[in-house]
Amino acid sequence: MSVFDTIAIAASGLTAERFRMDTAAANLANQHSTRTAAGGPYQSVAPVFEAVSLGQAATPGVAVTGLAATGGAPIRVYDPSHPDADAQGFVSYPDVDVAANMADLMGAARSYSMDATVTAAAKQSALDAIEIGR
Amino acid sequence: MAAINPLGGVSALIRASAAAAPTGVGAAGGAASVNGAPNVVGSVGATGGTAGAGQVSASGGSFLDSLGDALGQLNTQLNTADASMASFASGGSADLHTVMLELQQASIGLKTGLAVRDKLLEAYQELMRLQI
Repeated sequence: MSVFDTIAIAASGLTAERFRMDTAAANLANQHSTRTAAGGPYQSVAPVFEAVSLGQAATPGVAVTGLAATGGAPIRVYDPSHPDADAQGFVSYPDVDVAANMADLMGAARSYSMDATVTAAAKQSALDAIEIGR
Repeated sequence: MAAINPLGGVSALIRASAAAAPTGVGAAGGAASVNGAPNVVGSVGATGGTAGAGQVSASGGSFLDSLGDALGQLNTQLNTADASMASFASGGSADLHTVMLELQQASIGLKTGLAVRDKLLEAYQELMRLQI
């Protein structure tokens, strides 16, 4: 069922790009988050993708292997009335690059369309193969 | 799932006609038409399996076995698509594209099954015409 393999590979790409959109969405949503469960301001993240080679694994394609921290040190803003202000009255905001995350979001959406096109092509060739028998 | 049963019915029909055809053609006495009958079923075998008509009437049918396996796989595909669709509709964690791709795979499988059924029916009708 090699045509279904093609679809499975493209599906792994779809899942990966969706995860990339998730990280961009999380970064954009948390650009003003000053506290996290681990303590300190939010740290923006980027997904780490790993290629799963054809012919070496039962399910080739791409795998999401983890998250890498992006962005620099927190941005310190003077706001003594903020509940998360430190002793000097500074609040640490996460260093989220909004433009880069928006570009990443667009790239992920385009890559998602690309993988969807691959699945459409694989499906069309399967239907063409059925037409051979007609 | 209702589409599976006609396929099972057709394979039973072909099984019966494959058993009946050699005697009917033998009564007509034409050696060329006896050779013709396996060719018709053999062309179906090329679509979905490996065996020709000779093995179908002799051993009970490895082609029909592989056809049965294919129908079982098709049924599994349809059930998987059904389950993931139900899981998605009831708020499960399945991705939308996973559900859609499983539905598409089931659809392709069903279309393949229908194409094989069409071929089988064609072969059956060909066999029916042989006896005239």
